[in-house]
Amino acid sequence: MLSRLPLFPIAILLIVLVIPALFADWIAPHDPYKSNLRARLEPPVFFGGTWEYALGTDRLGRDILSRIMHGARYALGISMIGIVLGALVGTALGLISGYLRGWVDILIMRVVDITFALPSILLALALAAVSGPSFGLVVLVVVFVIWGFFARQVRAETLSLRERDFVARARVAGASGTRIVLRYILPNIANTIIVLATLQIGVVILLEATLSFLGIGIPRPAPAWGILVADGRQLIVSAWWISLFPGLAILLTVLSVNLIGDRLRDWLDPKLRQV
Amino acid sequence: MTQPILEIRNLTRHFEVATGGMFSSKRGIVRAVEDVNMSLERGQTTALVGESGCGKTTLARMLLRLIEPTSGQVLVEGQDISTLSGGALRRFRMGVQAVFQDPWASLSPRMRVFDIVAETLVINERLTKGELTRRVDEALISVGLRPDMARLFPHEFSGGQRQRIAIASAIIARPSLIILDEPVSALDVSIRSQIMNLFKDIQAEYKCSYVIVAHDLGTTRFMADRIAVMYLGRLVEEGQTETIFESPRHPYTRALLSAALPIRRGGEKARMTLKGEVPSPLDPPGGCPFHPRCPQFIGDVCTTTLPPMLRDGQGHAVACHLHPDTNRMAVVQTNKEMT
Amino acid sequence: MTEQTQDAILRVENLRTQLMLASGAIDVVRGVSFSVNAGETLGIVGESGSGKSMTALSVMRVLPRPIGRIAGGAIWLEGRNLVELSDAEMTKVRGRQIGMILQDPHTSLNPVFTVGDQLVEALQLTTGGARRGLVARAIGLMKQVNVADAERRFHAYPHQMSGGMKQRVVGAISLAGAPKVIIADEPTTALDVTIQLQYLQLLEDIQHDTGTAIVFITHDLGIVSRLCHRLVVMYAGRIVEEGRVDTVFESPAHPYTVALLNSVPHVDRRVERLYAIPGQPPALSEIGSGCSFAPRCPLADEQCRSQSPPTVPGPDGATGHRVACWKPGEAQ
Repeated sequence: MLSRLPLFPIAILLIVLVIPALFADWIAPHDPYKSNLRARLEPPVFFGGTWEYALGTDRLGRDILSRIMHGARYALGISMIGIVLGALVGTALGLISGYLRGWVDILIMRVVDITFALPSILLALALAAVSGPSFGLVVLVVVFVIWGFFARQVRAETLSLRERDFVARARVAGASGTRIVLRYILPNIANTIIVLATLQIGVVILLEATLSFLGIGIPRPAPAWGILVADGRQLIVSAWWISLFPGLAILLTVLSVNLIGDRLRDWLDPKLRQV
Repeated sequence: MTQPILEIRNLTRHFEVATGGMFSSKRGIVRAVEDVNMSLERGQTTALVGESGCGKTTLARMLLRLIEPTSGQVLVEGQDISTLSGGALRRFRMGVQAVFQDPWASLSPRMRVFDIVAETLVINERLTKGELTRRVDEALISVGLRPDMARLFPHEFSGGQRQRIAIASAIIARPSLIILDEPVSALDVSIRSQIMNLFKDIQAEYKCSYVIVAHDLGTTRFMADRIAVMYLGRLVEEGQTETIFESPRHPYTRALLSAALPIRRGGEKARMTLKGEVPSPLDPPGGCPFHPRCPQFIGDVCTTTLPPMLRDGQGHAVACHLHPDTNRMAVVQTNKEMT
Repeated sequence: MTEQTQDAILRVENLRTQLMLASGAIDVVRGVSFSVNAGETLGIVGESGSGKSMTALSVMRVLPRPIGRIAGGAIWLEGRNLVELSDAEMTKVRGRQIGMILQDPHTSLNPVFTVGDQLVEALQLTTGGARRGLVARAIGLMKQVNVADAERRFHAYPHQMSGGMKQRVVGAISLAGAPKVIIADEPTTALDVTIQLQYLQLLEDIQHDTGTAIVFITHDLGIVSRLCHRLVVMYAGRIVEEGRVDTVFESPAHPYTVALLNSVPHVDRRVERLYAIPGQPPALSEIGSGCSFAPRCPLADEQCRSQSPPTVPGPDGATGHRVACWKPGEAQ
């Protein structure tokens, strides 16, 4: 069974995201905030640099590697919190929508449609203009963007499950709507929610990176990956490593999460069909 | 005379459906169940027989209060079930139970057998864990399973065993009426007889009544005391099982019995075959709904007038213009007419 | 090994089929031999797991890929061994010499084409010719299977037809190539019982008119009694009994056949209790070396449990009646 795990993506994910996010304080070689003007714009180690600053330094002499490691925290944190909240909101509304149907269903689905129609970046810009960029704002935007996916998927599965014989039997036994939703429907869609959540992690990380890049996400001076990419924007030709490595971190994280999500879906899918 | 456990009065259920294309708002009415009257005595079994579209499944769901009737009443122990609430509703839920067709869809895959079987009691009564366990064990033993199976999940059991679990969950509250919706059709042939014998044992032990929906006439003949034949939402014939099998009156009943293929050793081949397809319930024929396919079609009266349901002295009822007078039932037609 | 008649259109010899699953190879058909003559209907009776459907799929060589494969044996059709044919050659056989009618009418037809188009396509693939002529022949086929109002229905889509009518169209498609044998896998299971009767009569008429042999797979003994001339009873991948239908039903020799006949509730008389075969059909991955029915057989002894029984003539001596049992005829 162990050999069937997607070991490579898991390893990448651990190395690039999880371990740095949890242990950056102990394993990062330098302080990500400390500038060292004598070491500014050092290239990475195999391109003329030294092992001291393995991935090079930026304009202020800050170690890119350490900044990436500390920045992982934001990627992980936003995705965890954002996904959990988005999943909660989306699942709850999807269950209600699918089980009750009628005008409640129509209303909730219209809201989902509106959510998908609104461009999230513009929304984030507007919010940032009002209250300034912050961690909370990013979470809010993330939840706004992804709850609709959960709501729609959960609603679809609920619609199909509520017609099943075992739900009919629960009604014959006298179960209330709440009981049916919580004890009969929810446990049987748990797999779907898990897979969806996993696949959304990539979306969320990219979203956070985009917002931070634009300056309306995680506020400076936090070394969120999007900000790191933005740092190197003007020096993209001469000091390409400043943007490249954070960008690579984002890429590897999203890629490995998607690969794991795909495998997870395949693994859970035949069992889903048994439901 | 004791009150019948179940009485169905003028029960009707219509569904509105969209009949036009994607952008049209044309609606049609499906008359799934139309003006059905029936009663069931305690401890007896009635079978609802008919083919797809006859309304037997809709009728069964109305008996369980899963669907509300458009008009008419269902009385269980003399009470109209659509007016129940609170304690009376709880008693109804415990008193009327169901076993459905598909053993794979009847049990929630994420619940343990214990929880599945105990559910009715958990919802409607306040029992201690110990009492609950005792009742669950009792129910599992009654259906031929072992109490130690209670902690397992449904996917670890075979089809026949899953149906037993469903039956255990139906009998645990000691219901007086159980609706069986094609309870053995999804099971292997060699397992069916085990389950059918089990149903009879349970009826003897728990003294409950059954309404069984079955399309297989062999099963029906084995299980039922009375048979009600339905066609396009209406009852066309009703009576004791043996009477219906030996001397069916309605032409549809006779066609249905004709189509039931016995395992005859050295069989005869006279069979009554119907022409055409079952008409759509959206657009039932006028007059007697069976007239377009009826091999014993009389004439205008069949196209224009709905035949009334008439009952003779022995409790045998039929709705057919061939039998217009309860006092003077037409002689049962001989085999010659059947070809 | 069945007796080899001159007329045998289809002859299956010692067919073995496997499913290659992740947990290993499972034998689903374990040495099956039978033959069908022209103008004859052979019933293959069994429950789920008996291997009856796998046998049919093997003969038509439409086993699920890549997990299904024929592991041994021969399938003789008009002098050619179908097991040895290439995929391209087999495609020509299917539709021309073998017609197929499968169980579910709703998935047998392509929902985006009219039934007429599908019929014409079948005709093009099997007999060829200009489309105009084929349209007329297609309508003719639809009339042959008693589709009312065939000219109009030619232009209908499958979803506009009932299950019974769809199954008739499937029947018409199977007839397009004037096959020598039609393999029908539980074609009436999804149909109402009065429609089923119409359909069985249709099959009889077709056989009478064209002399096509029919292999009818079912679990319903009533259908076998009505439609089939001979039958084979399968259990756990093997044939346990075969013979003429009236012989086998009159004096069944294998305990499983006896049990099956006794456990089916009869339409023609009332009984108070059914004979219940204890236990359940075995999982195919767990079959041991002895008789596969032994765990459930009231007569089983040590020999039955350890040694696979030979196929012997039925004790009644009727021609063609054979049974695979150590104690044939002892069960009642």
